[in-house]
Formats: sequence, C-alpha cells, structure tokens
Amino acid sequence: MRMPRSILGRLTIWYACSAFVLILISTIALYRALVNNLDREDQEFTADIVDIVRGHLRDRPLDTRGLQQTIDREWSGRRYAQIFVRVLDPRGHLIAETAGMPATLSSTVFPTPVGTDQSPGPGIELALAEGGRFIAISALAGVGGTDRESGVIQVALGQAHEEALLAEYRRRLWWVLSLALLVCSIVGYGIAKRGVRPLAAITETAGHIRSSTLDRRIHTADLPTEIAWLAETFNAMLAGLEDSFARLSRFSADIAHELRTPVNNLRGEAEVALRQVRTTDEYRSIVESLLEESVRLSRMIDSLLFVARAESPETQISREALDIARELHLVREFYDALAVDAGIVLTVEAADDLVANLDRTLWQRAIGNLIENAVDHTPPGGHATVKASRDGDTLCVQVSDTGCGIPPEHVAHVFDRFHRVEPSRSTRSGRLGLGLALVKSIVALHGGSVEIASEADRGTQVTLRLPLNQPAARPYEESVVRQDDGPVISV
Amino acid sequence: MKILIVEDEQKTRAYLRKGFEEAGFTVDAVERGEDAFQVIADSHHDLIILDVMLPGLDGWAIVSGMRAGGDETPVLMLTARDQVQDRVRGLELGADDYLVKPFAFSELLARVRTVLRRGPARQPDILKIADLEINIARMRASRAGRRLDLTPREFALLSLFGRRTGEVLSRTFIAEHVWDMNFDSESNVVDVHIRRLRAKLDDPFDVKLIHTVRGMGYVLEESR
Repeated sequence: MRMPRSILGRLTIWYACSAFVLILISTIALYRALVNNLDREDQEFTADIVDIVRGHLRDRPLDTRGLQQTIDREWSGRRYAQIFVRVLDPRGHLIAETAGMPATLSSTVFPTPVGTDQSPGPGIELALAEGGRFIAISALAGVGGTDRESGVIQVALGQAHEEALLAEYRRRLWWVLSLALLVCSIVGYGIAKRGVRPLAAITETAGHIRSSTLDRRIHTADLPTEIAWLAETFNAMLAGLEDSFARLSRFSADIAHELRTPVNNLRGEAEVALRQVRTTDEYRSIVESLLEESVRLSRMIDSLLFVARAESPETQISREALDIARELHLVREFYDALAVDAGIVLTVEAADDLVANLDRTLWQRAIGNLIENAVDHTPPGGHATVKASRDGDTLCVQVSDTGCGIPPEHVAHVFDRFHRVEPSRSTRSGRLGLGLALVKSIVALHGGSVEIASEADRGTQVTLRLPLNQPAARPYEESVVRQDDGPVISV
Repeated sequence: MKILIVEDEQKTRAYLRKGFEEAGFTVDAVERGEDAFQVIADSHHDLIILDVMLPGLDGWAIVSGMRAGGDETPVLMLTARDQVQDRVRGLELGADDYLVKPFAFSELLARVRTVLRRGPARQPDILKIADLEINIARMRASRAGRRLDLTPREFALLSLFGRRTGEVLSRTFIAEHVWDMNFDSESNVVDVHIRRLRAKLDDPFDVKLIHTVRGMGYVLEESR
C-alpha cells in the first residue's frame, strides 16, 4: 500500500494500526488461554470419572448393577456435556455402559489403557468420520471379586457443546475487533489532527502574508517545541523579507528622488533653450551642459545598479592576486595630484609582501572612493594616510585623514545610499552620496567588513578588512560602524 | 570604411548614423535582426555595430550565425545588460568588443577605431602635431624645439593624446590608459593631471593644443 502524502493521513494510519495490532494480539492471547483452560478442564473431568469408576470397582467389585446405575445417574442425559462411559472385563465383554453410547465409539477407537496404578490422561482427541469430536481416555482397573483381573474403563467426553461455545466467542471477537479498528481509526485521526493543528495555523498565517503585511509573525508561545522551531525559522525569514522589502522600497524612493534633479535640469534647460533663437555659441554651451547632466545621470545609474547587484548572492567578482603595495602606490600616484592641489599630504604605507586575491577594478574603486572622501573633507595642511597590513588571514586597509570628521549622529548612516552629511554642499560638488555605499558593497562582495571611526575636527578613519587568499565570493555581510570610544553600531 | 548599424531604437540609430557619418564612415543602418542578416549577406562591411536586444532575431543569434557561416567581419555589441556573464557570452560567441549603455559616443568611436586598427597597423615612433614632437621610443617630447620636462606619467598622458590626435578622450579612458585605474572616478583628479600637463605643454605657448570638450573629455589637436 502506498502511504498517503499528507502527514495527517500517515499519522492516522500509524496510530490506528499500532493500536489495532495491540488489541489483536491481546485478543488472540486471551482466546488461546480460554481454549487451553477448557482443554485442561475436560482432561481433569474425564480423569475424575475414571477415578470414580475405579473407586466403585474397588469398593463393590461385584455390584455390576450398582455401577450401571451410577453411570446412568451421574453422567447420562446431561445437556451441556455428552459423557460416555464403558467398562469392559479382561476378555473384552461389556460390564456396564452409558445408555445410548454411539456405535461409532466402539471399544477399538479408544487409546491403549494406562496401567492400574497410573492416573489416567491425557486423553486423545477423537474426530469420528460420522461426525462428533470427543476427548477419549481409557485406563485399566481391577474387576471381579477375588482374582482381581484387569478390566478396561473407557471414557469419552463430547466436544460439540464446547465447540459451539468457542464459535460463539469467536464470532463476538470479530465484532469487537471490527469495532476496535473503527474506533482506533477515529481516535488516531483525532490525535493526528490535534498534532498537526499548529501546522495548519502556520499555513493559515503564511497564506495571509502579502508584501504589504510582512510585519505579521506566527505566535510561537503556544506551539509545541518542534513546530516552534519551524515557526521561528519562518519568522526569521519573514523578518529578512520585511527588511529587504523596506530597503527596496526606500531604495526606489531614493532613486526617484535623486533622479528628479538631473532630469529636471535636462528638461528645463532644453525647454528654455528652445524658447527663442540663440547664437551657435549659446546652443553649444547648452548642449554641453545637457551632456554634463546626462553623464552625471548615467554615472548615478551605474553606481546604483552596482550597489543593488552587490546585494544579490549571484553576483560574481573576478579575483586575481594583487600586490597590495604596488597597487596602493599606483593609486597614490593617481590621486597625488588631487591631494597636492588641495594642500594635503597623501601617504601610503604598505608591507612589501602583501598579496591578496581581490577584484582589481572593485578594489581600486573602493580605495579611490575612500581617498577622494579623505581629500574632500580635509583642510589644507592636513594629512591623508593609507595603511595596509596583515592581521592573521585578513588584509587590513586603513584610510585615515585629519579632516573635519563626521558628526556623531551621522556616523551610523554614512554607508547608506544617498546619505550626505551636508546635503546642499555635496550636491553642489557633484558627488552623489553613493561613495561609501559602494565601498560597503565592494567589501561585502569580497566577504569582508568595513568599520568607520570618526571624531569631529580630529579626523576620520575607515578600516577595511578583507580575507586574504579567498577564492570565491561570499554573500552579503553586515558591516560595523564604530565611533571613537563609542558603542559599536551595526549597519 | 563602411559600417553597419543594427539597432531597433530609432533615436539611437539616428544619432549613431549621424555621428559615424560625421566621423567619416559610410553607414548602413537596419532596424530588425532578420533584415540585418540579409544586408550582411548582400554587401561587405568593415564593421558591424550590433544591439543585443532586438525584436525577433537578437544580437546573440546574429553574431553566432555570422561566425557559423564563416563571416569574420568585426562585430561590436551594444547592450543595456552589463552582467559579466553577458559580456563573456558576447565575446565567446565571436563579438570583438562589447559596450554597455549608456556609453559616451567618443568611447564607441574610439573602440570602433581600435577594432578596425587591430592587425598589422604600426605606430610611428615619432608623432608630430603642429610644433609638438613626441618621440615615443626615447620618451621625449619637445615643442617648438624646446624640450618639455615631463614626468613618466605626464609623458604617457601626452603620448596617449598624440596617438589619438583629434579624438575626444573621456576622463575614464584617460585614467584607464595612463594609470590603469579601471573605474569612473567622481572626482576631478584627471582634470588636475591635465592641468599639470597643460602648464608645461600649452601655458608657455600661444597656440593651445589640448582642448576641453565639455561633458566629454579632452582632445589634442591643432585648433578647434
């Protein structure tokens, strides 16, 4: 038989089967005990009769009439038991016999008699061809007055009544067992149903969850332990989904908001330009401005796509072995002009033997963004330093500056997309507020973490921790933000 | 030089045609992938610019069909999808280059020229633009006979301009080719480098050679 697919069905079958098997086993055991008891009783009964006849022959050996009378009085014509007794003399002649003893119970069908001194039994079962089953025993006994020759006592006990009784008993048992099977199934179903009810509750809750009701949770307090685990896992999944959804919708809103300004500029500038005839130079200037705005837009789209993709576990990066010191000096060479222009000293300190498996483009982008930030926020005469060192299996890169620092209330949010400490200023300088979000995404793609520590007017320190020699990309990981001497904040 | 543009977006097709014609190319343009096959079979083109997302037969199918038929015409693919897998797929199918939308037209033009130049073309050792002379082999540059005192990177920057005289080079392109920085920086660091080069190359002279093209980048040429 194929098991049903539902747990309810399976549990019901298991409960019902096990309960029914138990009942069946005990019923069979009881029935067998009953049969054995009846058997033993029959044996004892027949043995008793032999003893009584022996007693009679011993006490009144010559009273054949009295023996016949006793036989007739005691054992013939009983309704519940057919008893037949026969006594033969040593030569096989009949001494006494129960009246109406069937011819089929001839003296030859009885077993070999036991000796005079032996107690009779156990008897044999006789199944006569003409019908009727009997327990039959025979025993030797002294007969006659003086010479005490050995006669034979033959006793047969009919089984018809007992068989009828057992048949009736069996018939009842079938009824009881059928009923038990029914009851077991019903009770089993009830138990199983109770057992899986919490599952139904979870299903119900899950069924009602839509993207707009992700804040719903399953109450785990009343649930049995095993189901509570499931429910907790489910709740954790919901929390993750809710978080992702919230992030996604905030992200969409951010994008729409951020795209408005450049799109508005494009549209407005083009419209104004077309309102009247202008000189070629004017047109040229306008087209150039439109182009600048478009470039800004496409750069924003690139960055946004990148950050969004970094959160997808399928995103792959192409790692290659990088000589960190060489790479950092290359970056320094690129940005040095910018630093010198801003009156800042940019230095790189890196051990010579640092080699890490990183995606080169992403690594340059992360370090570049951090250096740009440092240079941007450091007044002339300050320092910006990039240090790289090994910390066990981790590459530690620290970009620090002696700049204006980040106000404490902003520290936890600087890795968020579009977060700007000073919105107006950043917008004017053309920065998108995506730099640190990009850094965080890049680090996460490498399976690393990023920390920021900042003190107002003393400077900011960003630390990247990247696993060395890691062959494959890791899923998105949490980053940690720390304020100097302050609590560690997870972003 | 004759190129074929396969692009379903009408505006894109129009400005690509215009841009390439003004850059001195002969241009055929078709809208649908099925038509592209016919045009490719009928006439010779030096290069095909192929959009990936076309109605009907897409760019992948066209390029693999061409290569299967033994047509080795260079193909440059344009796409709005920039997953690494897509890029790899395009190149595996036999495309020669791959550019992601939105792109700078100057970038596309530069790539087209690069693909067409691929092969035996040799760069001369000495480049001359007006009174500027760049000796690539000896890593020296002089203007009006006066030697320019350049750092190695400044020389690399100048020779990049020199090899691509008249081409507008974007900041990203410059950063990539001179400093091996392969990302689009938000800062004006490239402008600072250009300013330093100009201080040595242009400031002492009346005729300026490096010109700013707003929204696009820089170009080295005699006059603009």
